[in-house]
Amino acid sequence: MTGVVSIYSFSHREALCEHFVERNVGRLPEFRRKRCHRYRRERDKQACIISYLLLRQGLFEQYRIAEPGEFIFNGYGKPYLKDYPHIFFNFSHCERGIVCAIAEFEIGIDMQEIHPYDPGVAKLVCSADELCRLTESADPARLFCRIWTAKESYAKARGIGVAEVFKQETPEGLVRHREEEDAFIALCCERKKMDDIQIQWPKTCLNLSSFRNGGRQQKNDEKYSKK
Amino acid sequence: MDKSDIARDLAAIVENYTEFDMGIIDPSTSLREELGLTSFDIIALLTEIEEVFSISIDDIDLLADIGTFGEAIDLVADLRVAE
Repeated sequence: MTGVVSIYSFSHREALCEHFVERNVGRLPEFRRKRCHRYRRERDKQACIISYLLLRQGLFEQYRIAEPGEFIFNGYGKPYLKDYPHIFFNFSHCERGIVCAIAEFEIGIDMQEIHPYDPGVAKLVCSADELCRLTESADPARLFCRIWTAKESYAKARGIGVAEVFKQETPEGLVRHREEEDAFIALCCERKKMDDIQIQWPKTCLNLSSFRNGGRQQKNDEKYSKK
Repeated sequence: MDKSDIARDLAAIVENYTEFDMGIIDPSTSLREELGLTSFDIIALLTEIEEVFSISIDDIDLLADIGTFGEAIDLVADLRVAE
């Protein structure tokens, strides 16, 4: 698995039924359920559930690990697998979807839909050179989204707060972008040049129909629990 | 403008991002872990705070200091005093 990043994604948030959380929160381990219940908004609860299920699916497919187990966190809140210190993962979500990246080295992933360009936000975030490029760009909204996701993924790969990389140039060689119609996904591997990395993205999308029928997905859960 | 005024106006701003009734949010409410705001949302929030409260946020490290709604209120109050 060295040098490979697998990305799992789900992008049909609009199709989730109103009972999705209620029907699926029970599939989470207790620590994740507690986190899910803290969220006030339904869509954040959904993201909390789906991101965990993506991780679980990825770990099973790549390593035959049935359950991720507990997370431990660094000082900036970056999660790690307590029971599998050699496996690294990262989540991101936005209105567009939810992604989970898995690798055997530190990684960061960020997904962001393109928002109308706000020079005030750019002023807080971007380096002088980036601000110049934005000013000259024919599509500053798209460029800013690319810059933002690069910074966010880089900070997440390093396990630090995103504010610590503001107003600095993001090392482009460490970040790879995937451009969607209205969003960007950025992947960063902190200590490896992206040219040396094989990215499988997105490797798998969770089947939406598996969320519609709690009974059917229960059967899949049983498959994942077998070693 | 006292802190209760700041809280009221700030709640209105945060409502835009959360589409959530801020009437039941208290100062201890976590912006990220309860309201689900991302770093991008909080940055956008900061720029709108600058505009609404006529303050200038130059130190982006302040982002790390805003974990709860109460901390956001304190930030605005401190910056208003400074200016």
